[in-house]
Amino acid sequence: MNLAKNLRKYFRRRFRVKEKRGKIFMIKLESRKNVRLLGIFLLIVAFTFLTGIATAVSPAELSIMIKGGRGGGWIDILQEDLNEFENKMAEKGTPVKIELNNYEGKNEPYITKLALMLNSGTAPDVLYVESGIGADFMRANYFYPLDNFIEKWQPWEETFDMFKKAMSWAGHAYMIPIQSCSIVIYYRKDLFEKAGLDTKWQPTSWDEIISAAEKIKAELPGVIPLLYTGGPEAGEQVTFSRFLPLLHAAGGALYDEGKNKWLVTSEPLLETFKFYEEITKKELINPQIAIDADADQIAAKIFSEGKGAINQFGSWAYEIFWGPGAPYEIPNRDDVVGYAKIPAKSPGASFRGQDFVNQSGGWNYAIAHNSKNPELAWELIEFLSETERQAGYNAIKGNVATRKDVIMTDLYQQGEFLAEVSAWLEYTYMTPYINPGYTGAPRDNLQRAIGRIIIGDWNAEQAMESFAKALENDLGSEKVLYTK
Amino acid sequence: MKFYFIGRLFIMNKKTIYFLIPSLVLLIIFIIFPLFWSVIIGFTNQSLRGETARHFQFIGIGNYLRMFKDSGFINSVKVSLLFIFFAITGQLIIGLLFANLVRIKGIKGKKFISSIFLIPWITPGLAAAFMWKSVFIWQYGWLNTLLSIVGIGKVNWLFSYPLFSILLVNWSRGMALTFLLIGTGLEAIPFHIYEAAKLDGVSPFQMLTYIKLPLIKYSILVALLVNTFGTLSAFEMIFGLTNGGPLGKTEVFAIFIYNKAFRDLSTGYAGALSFVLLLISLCIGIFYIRSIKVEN
Repeated sequence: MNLAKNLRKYFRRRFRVKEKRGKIFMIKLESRKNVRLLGIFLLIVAFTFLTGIATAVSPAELSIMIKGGRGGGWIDILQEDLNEFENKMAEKGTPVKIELNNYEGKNEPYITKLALMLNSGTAPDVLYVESGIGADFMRANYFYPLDNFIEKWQPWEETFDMFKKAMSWAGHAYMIPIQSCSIVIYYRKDLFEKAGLDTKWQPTSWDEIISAAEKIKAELPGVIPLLYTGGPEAGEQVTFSRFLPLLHAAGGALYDEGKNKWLVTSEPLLETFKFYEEITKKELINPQIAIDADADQIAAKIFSEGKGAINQFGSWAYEIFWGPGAPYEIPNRDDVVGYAKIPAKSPGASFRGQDFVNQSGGWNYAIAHNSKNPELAWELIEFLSETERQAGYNAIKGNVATRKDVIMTDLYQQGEFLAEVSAWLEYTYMTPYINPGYTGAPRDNLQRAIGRIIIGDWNAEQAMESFAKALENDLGSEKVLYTK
Repeated sequence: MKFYFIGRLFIMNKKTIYFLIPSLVLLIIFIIFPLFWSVIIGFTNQSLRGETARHFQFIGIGNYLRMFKDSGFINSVKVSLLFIFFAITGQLIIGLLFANLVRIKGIKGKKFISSIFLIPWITPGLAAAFMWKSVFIWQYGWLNTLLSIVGIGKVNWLFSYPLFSILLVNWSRGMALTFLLIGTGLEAIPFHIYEAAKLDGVSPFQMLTYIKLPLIKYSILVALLVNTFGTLSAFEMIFGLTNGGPLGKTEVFAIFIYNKAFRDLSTGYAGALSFVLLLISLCIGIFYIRSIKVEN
């Protein structure tokens, strides 16, 4: 009341208002300054009014960011699905306009972009996030909690437990898994045949991998036997697809979940470094390709051209690199590309006493903490997670599904390769990939140590010692554990 | 004196300050505030991931102490020192050489030749990096093609000689400024000094060492100052060519800071590293400016 009174007094004094029977009778504008002020005031009122109207009649806006590469395939299907969602919402009477942002670059810059956007509160509503960095982002409270949404949500019930665990932090779920992978030892059957090796190959120990590679080297000069990579420039797959599964195969782990510490020295870690030392000394890999910034692309190309024999890599490569229309398409792929599980160092010697090991990561949907429409964002995620739709995405991208209902669809089962590698999820051990902090100093120092072995600077002992010291320096002595 | 002069302007004409405001605002937003902010976060454990992303804490000089135990930091300092030394030496020698060559009597097309030297300098760093990558590419680069023609064979330059490769690119771009500055200095030497020296029977080498170099010392110092700063903060060219690889062999300080900030997402640590780079640059700048003043 006082405010209104004071405003009236001010207004009367400023504009020399004359009142008659309590009503405003005349406004006397005596100076240019007053005219200007009044003009500005009227403009502000008009603008606010018009903006309000515009907001009231325009559809709600939602944005989604994905890392889809150069487009085509999945992106086109996703765009169609988003259009379908918009139509569905319009029919419901709650129109929504969705903006699809497709990031075309590599993984690491995408993660940096996501981190910067989330930190500054400018991230799109729905995000496509890798599981590895997702753990750190969950800890940073970058995502909207999904507990209320997934309660009694059937697709969540169908999700495998290991993925549920990877999507959660401190008892709350923050991400919805949409795709994963298995790690495969791909081999060229045609090269194996020429070298006199069995084309139906399933190694049961590391010795069998190395002896097959040595035979290739002896019989087929000019062919690179093994396509392992190393060094931080070569990217995430140095450790995710190659080193970590081998470490588990040797019976080791990088992270002690009970003690919450990084195991910086251990016998299995040393054995794994020795594997790299052995394949380097025997010249079974090409160091120049192995540490290149585009090592994975080069390795995929060499493999497609029949100049590389064995490539341990993700299951996605079968479609995305070598499938029909892919950049390094192998026309008779199903005839010449064989695939095998990663064996334990020797039968039963792996981390959980398994004969084989697997690594599975994946990509997931999350809602940004700064989203103005989290419920609407959830409706979109729900829509995109419908069983047949999800099966379509997984099939076209060659990605392993994270849900039982998706795996059981006819569409998914049509792909012989996908159906088989999906069964390898039983061997998967996701740690430390999903451990908070893994994608920083631990991974970086590990990649560096591997790279140094590959270029011949260090032997296995030196690599492990250097890795241990560097990680201790980066994280502090309370975060590391020496067990050797 | 300066302050008084500005003070008088301020008193005499307040409208002057209105014209300065836009530039001041931009300066504060894009230079001063980020500078102070990066110094401040250098004393925290801020990161773009994990618990310290949105709730970081003051950790004092923890980041600075970490540097001295960080093998990556020590490596980047070593690489930077090597790179700066060879870069500015090479730029100086090549710039001096060509500045003298184009002034030899009888050479035609001096202006055209001089403008050719400027092209690498005006080419943006990243564009230059990608162009040179096509030169150095192991299988298809034209340098290896030339070497194959003369029977030498292919070399993986970016793998086997990464530091030399980036020095080559740096020389091609950096020597242009030295060429210009030294050229200006040479043009300023009075002609009668050359004549007098010739009458005394000096050789070309003696002309260079006893006549030209002493008289263009100031130009050389200025060239060294500018080139040192440019090389100290060299980033886009190295980023485009090797990104600090292979395995840190070309990871100069600027690349190391970038990787810490945007690959490891450790912005607090990167802030501390940036401050160290700023202090080093200040020290070098003060040293050079004092040398130039003494020369004057």
